[in-house]
Amino acid sequence: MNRTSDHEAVDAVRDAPPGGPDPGRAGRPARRRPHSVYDAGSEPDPRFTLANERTYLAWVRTSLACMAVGIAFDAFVDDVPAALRTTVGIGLVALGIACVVSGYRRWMLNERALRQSTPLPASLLAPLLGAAFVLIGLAVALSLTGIGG
Amino acid sequence: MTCRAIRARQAPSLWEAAAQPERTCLSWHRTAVALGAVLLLLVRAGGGALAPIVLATGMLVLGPLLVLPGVRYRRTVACLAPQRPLPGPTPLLGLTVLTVLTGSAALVIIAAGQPDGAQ
Repeated sequence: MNRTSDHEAVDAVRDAPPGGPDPGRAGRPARRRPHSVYDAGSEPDPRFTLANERTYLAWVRTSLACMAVGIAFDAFVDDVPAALRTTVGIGLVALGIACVVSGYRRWMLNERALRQSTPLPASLLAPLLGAAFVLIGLAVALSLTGIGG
Repeated sequence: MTCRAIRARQAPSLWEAAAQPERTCLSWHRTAVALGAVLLLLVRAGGGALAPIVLATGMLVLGPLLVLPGVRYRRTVACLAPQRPLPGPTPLLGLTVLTVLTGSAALVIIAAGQPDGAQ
């Protein structure tokens, strides 16, 4: 396949009707779930769909990193008060759960936007996540240096 | 370089699209390994009674999660050339549920307090 026909193939995938061109077992077009995503617009460029999936996976890894730090902080750090240790641990794990749920929600919103060729929605969690990391880091640093009592 | 060659270089091609499933597959692998690391940490931190449960559950879910990216990669590549829609998001939803369950187990372990011998 040469490059021009490759380009046409990608365009053809993008212009495919909602639900896909393949008929289901009963001869009807198969409806994909979630309907709130796939019932809107047309099939986007597969590169965008895959990039959206990788972004979701990056959110999952961020979530897992939050959880790992929270678990390790609670279990293996002795130099901070027990109350702070538990608070930071629970806070980081809860932040991880929020990350993964938000990541999936963002995947749906992004996929829907891609199918409708509209701008991608802005992320609210990304700046909040940064602020939470700064606050937690400051609390731990103050505790370790004894400034916060 | 001729104008045709320049246009060919600028045009998005199926070759470029075909490189993306591989990157996505590797991304799935990294995520599965990260989940495995968190589960091991949970076993280490959870200590005594919860360790076998977390370990058994982790082994049950990690196996499919390590095999799934390869299957999904082959299905995605198979969809590109005949211009079919890409595979659906069921694994994404499954991974979300799995991660939330892992987080919930971590919350239980932290809230239950640090067991003896977890250091």
